[in-house]
Amino acid sequence: MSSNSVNIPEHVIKEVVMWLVKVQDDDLTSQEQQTLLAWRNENHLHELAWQRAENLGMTLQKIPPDLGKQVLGRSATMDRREFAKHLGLLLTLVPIGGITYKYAPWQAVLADIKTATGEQRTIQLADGSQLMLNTDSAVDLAFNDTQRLVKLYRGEIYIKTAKDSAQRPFLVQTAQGQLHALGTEFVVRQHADYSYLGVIDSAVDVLPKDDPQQNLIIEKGQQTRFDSTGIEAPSPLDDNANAWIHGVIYADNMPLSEFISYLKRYRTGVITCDESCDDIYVSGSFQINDPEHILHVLEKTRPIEIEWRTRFWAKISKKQH
Amino acid sequence: MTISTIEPFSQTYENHHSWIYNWLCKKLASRDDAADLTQDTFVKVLQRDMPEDIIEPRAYLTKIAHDLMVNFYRRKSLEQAYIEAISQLPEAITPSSEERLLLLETLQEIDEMLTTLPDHVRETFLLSQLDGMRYKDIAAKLNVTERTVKRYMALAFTHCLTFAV
Repeated sequence: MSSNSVNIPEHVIKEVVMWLVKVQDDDLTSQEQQTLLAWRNENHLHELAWQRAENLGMTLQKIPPDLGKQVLGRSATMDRREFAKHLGLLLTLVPIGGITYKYAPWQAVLADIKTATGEQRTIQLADGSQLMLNTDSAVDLAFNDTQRLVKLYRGEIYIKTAKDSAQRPFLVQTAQGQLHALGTEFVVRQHADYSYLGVIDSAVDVLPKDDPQQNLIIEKGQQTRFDSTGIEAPSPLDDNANAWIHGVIYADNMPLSEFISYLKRYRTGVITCDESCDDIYVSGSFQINDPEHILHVLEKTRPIEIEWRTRFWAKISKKQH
Repeated sequence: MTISTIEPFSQTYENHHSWIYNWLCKKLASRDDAADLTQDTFVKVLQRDMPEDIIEPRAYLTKIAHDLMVNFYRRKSLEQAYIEAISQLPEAITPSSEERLLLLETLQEIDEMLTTLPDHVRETFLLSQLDGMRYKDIAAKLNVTERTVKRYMALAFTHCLTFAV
């Protein structure tokens, strides 16, 4: 259940609003920043209210100012006859019907914290832990007096835990099980039918959902995949497991098709790579904030051709000589 | 859900479906829209757990249908304002159809939050949040005191955070 559906008491809303108005009016002194952090930490409803406010801010930031003012600032009341006149125009101009829409599970739709395709976002949690969301990801936060729980619904997160003064355990829940952080730094990725864990520092205890007794501690420098019934034997951490945190895809003689499968996650649209590319390899470190640019670089440096069917649809094949 | 709550609902549906549909047909130009909003009315009833001891179900259902209709018109007017705004953009920066849809959804979300706020509160909120204007500049522009701007902002924030669903 999304914590957005949690009813936040009126007095908590009042307090968070007081902080918001203050934060926006002037810069906070470091004393005030401390007070704000302490307030967030005091009660999980405070933190929930704060996260909800941050979410509102994120949503508002997505709106181009001029367009937003014109649309949202329109006269609130509208004459119905006037409306009927424009209906025809509406139907011809909005191409909504033609767009195939990717349906996410309802939790991901309602989740507190989300990123769009190609977006990354870092959040400082009230306990001082750092949470980073990779492209197209969704999480809920459920912090209370006994635990610090992050629910991952979609995509990928990086977590660096901080010591908690209340010594609450730090947990991550995926569709296949729960992870107990043992003072640590790690990445978790939700796949369609399994979860991926890569441990960068210290260790993480993995508990599969249907068989939590079969838990396994994954150590620094290791990675694993697990489903609700079991855990794969750990293997050494993949070079790309945490490269995204630094905004790059790292390739060391990587097959082009594998490289493209990484790239796809950061880009809206379709990229296909046909069999003629099977013997093409890629090396280098690529900035993921501009996937279009990466494709252009590849086209210049590798023996490939990219056919653009639409702006979103690219088809890659080996250059014919 | 237990049987006892399903029972009254199916009865409610049977007893009230046709008059709600007819009522909406009179108010709306399109029969399809009326049928959609009739369905939505019952979905709302299910979501809200209609009180069992309700005395005047017609008034209750009419209120829900009416609110949905107002909402429907507001969305349409937003879409229209959006199309006008987009069509004025230079071609080079016109968003793609996918971006347009996402932006429209975001605008709808914010619009629903702001809808019941008084015009001057809404304007203050948009100047601050979209233009990034400082409170004292907004105060000068709207010819009100800074305290009033802060009061409007607190009102708008309270409303948005309470409403956020």
